[in-house]
Amino acid sequence: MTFAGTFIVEDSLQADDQKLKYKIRLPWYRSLPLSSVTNLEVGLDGVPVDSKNLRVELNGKILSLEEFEPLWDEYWFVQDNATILIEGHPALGDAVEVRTRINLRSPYIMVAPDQPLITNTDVTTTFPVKGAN
Amino acid sequence: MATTQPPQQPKLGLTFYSLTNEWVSGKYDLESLVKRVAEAGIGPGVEIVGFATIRSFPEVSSDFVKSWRDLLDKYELEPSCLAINIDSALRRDRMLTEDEAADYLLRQLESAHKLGFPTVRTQMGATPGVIAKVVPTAEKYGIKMGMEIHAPEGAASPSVLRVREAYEKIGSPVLGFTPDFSSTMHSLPPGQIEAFIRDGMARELVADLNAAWRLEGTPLDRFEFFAEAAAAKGYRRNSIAHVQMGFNMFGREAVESWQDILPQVVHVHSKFYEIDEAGNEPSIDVPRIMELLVDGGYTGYVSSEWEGHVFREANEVDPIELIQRHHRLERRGIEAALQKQQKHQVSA
Repeated sequence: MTFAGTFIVEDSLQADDQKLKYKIRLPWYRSLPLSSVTNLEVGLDGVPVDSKNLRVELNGKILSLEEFEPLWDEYWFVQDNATILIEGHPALGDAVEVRTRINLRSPYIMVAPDQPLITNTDVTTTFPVKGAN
Repeated sequence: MATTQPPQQPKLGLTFYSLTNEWVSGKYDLESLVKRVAEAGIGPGVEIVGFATIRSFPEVSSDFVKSWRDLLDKYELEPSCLAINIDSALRRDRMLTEDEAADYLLRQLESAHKLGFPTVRTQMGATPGVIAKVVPTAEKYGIKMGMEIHAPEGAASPSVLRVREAYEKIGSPVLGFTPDFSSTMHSLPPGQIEAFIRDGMARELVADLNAAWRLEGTPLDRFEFFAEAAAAKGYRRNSIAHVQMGFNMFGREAVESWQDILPQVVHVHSKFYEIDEAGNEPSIDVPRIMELLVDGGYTGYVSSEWEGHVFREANEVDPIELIQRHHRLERRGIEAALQKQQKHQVSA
C-alpha cells in the first residue's frame, strides 16, 4: 500500500536541544474521526520514545494519544498534515532514523460483525537534522 | 421510421478517488484538479468521496456549495455521484444506534442535495432499518441511493441478496446498486502481483497464487489453499501473509452476474488497475461489461475508478492519462453494443 509512501512528509524534521518535530499525513484516502487513531509509536535511532513525551498537533490542538479516543465528532481532514512533537530526545547526529507507527481503526470497514478493520502503517525514514525555529 | 436521436448510452467520467496519491500529498486543490480533468476530457461525470474532498463533511458550507457549483459550471462538468459513508464504528465505546446511523446518512444526503448530486453511493454497512429511515428524504430530493457491490461480494452474494430482499420490502424507486468491477475480474492485476513479490512473496509462487485465486470458494478458503501450496514448496506463512488481501480486494464472479441487478443499477464504479500497451485492462474485461450495461439500457454515469494507487507510488504513473486510455477502452465496448443494436434494427 502506498499510504506508507505518502505517510511521512519529506524533509519536515526540525530539532533543537530539547524538542524534535516532524510532519505526517493521514495514511488513508478519506478523512477519519480523531477517535480512529488508536496507537502511535515513534522510535529515534532505534530507541522508542516514551509516550508521555509524545504529542500530536492537529486541528490547532496539541493532543496526547489518549486524548484522541473521545474525539469521534471531529475529523482529521485527509489533506492536513499532523505534526509529531517529541520532548527530550537523545543527542542527534547529522541525520536521525525515525520509525513511525500508527494504527487506524476504520469506522466503516468491518472485518467481522461490529469488528472494525485496524490498519497498521509502519515507516522508517532517515531525516537530515535541521534546527528548529 | 428513421430516428435522428443519438443512441442511448452511459455517460463516462471519473471518481476523484482515482487521484488519491495526488490528493493526499497535496498536488492538487479542488480547482486545479477540476481544471485538469476538464482539459484532459475525462468527464463529464465527477464523483467525489465526501469525506476526502470536503473539509467540513458531512456538512457543507454555503461558500463551498457556491464554489463547487461555479467550478463545475465553468469547466462544463456534471456532478455524478457523492460517495457517502455509514461510519457505524465512529465511537470507540459502542456502535452507532440505527437512529444515529440514519441521522449520519441524512446529513450527507442534505449535502448531496445542496451540491446537486443525482446519486449517492451507499455501503453495505447500511442496515435495512437505516435504509428505511432515510428513504423518505432521498425521495423528497429525488436522489438515488446506490449500494456499492464490491469484491469480495458479487451481485448474488448472500449479503447482497439480503439487501435485494430489503429493497423489495421497502419498495422505493430511489433504491438501487452501484456495481464495482472489482467483483468481476478474470485475473489478478499484474502490478499487484509484482507488489506481492516486492513485499516478500517468492516469484516461484505466482502460478500457485493465480490457480488458488481462480478456485471456487470463500476468499479465506482460497487463500488457505494457496498457503498450503506455498508450504509444500517450503515457504513460511509470514512470507505470504500479505497476499491474503488479494483474495478480498479482487473478486472472480462472472461478468454476466451483473445481469440480475441491471434494472436496479443507478451508478457504476468502473474499477481498473492498469492499461497495457495494447490498450486493454489485463485483469478486467472492460468492453464486455460496458456492452452488458448498454444492452441492459443503462444510461447513467460510469465512473472510472483507478485503484492502482494501492501498489503504485505517487509520480510513478499519471492517473489522468490512464483514465483517458480507460475511457477509450470503455468506448470500444459501448460502440460494439450500439453497432449490434443498429444491425438488429436494420434486419428487423
